Amino acid sequence: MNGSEKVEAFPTPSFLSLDGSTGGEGLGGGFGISDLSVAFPVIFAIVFFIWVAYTLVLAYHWFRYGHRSFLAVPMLVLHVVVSGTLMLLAAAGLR
Amino acid sequence: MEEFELEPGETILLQIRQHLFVLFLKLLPFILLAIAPFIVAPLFAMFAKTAAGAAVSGDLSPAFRFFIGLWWLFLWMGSFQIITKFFLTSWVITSHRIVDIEQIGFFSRKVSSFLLLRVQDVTTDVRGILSTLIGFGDIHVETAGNHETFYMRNVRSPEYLRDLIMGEVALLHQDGDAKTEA
Repeated sequence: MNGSEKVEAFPTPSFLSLDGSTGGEGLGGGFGISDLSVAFPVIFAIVFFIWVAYTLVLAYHWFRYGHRSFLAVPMLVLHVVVSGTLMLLAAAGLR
Repeated sequence: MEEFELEPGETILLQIRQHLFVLFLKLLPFILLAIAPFIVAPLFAMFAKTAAGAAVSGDLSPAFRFFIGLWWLFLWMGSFQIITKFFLTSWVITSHRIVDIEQIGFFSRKVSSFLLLRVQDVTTDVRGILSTLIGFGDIHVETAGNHETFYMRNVRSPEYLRDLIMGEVALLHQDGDAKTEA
């Protein structure tokens, strides 16, 4: 090891950096989180299916037990809008 | 109402839920967990030397966006389950009985009722500064016979509800006495 070589014990994961690069190689090279990016679409698809099942169960309960409440439809719309926005945010990270 | 059928001459006087402040308290951990990444990420960046603080100020890396999006989605799903339970759990006070509708979880629902004629004593319990200031508390309804106690927890204006229940009980007893005399 020459004197100018810098060893960083705790490299920053790419998801915390601005350009997606890791802060350093770290000890022994390390395993960059960018390597996991291939798994992102799969994770996203799994989460999406969980969300669809959850939303169907939720809608069933609201319509079955809260159908006379004026809140049922607005609450379901709120759920779909908020979670849709969050999924768009997550999907923006897929590129 | 699908949960129970009204008897002839029976009317719904009031349908109540827990106080909205209780819902806020239940959602508070989710709010804290939602902002946690914005506290943890800069701290992590400080210790890791490479500044990532800017990532929090708007210029998010794609992977960060992905994880934060999914994190918030799961938190939203968890909090919406609590909101659903809150709105689908209620007490219905009719002119003849009190119906307790409890949404325990998804596909788990309990509906029980007891006649107002069995009510022996109604107690309100308001404890603490917040409960007193905001105006919510518990109601204990004791029934005759096997001395069962029925609880309505964290309801708005417990004193008003106690008076309403006791008023209805008195009316039922008056009606009963009048029929006996006739």
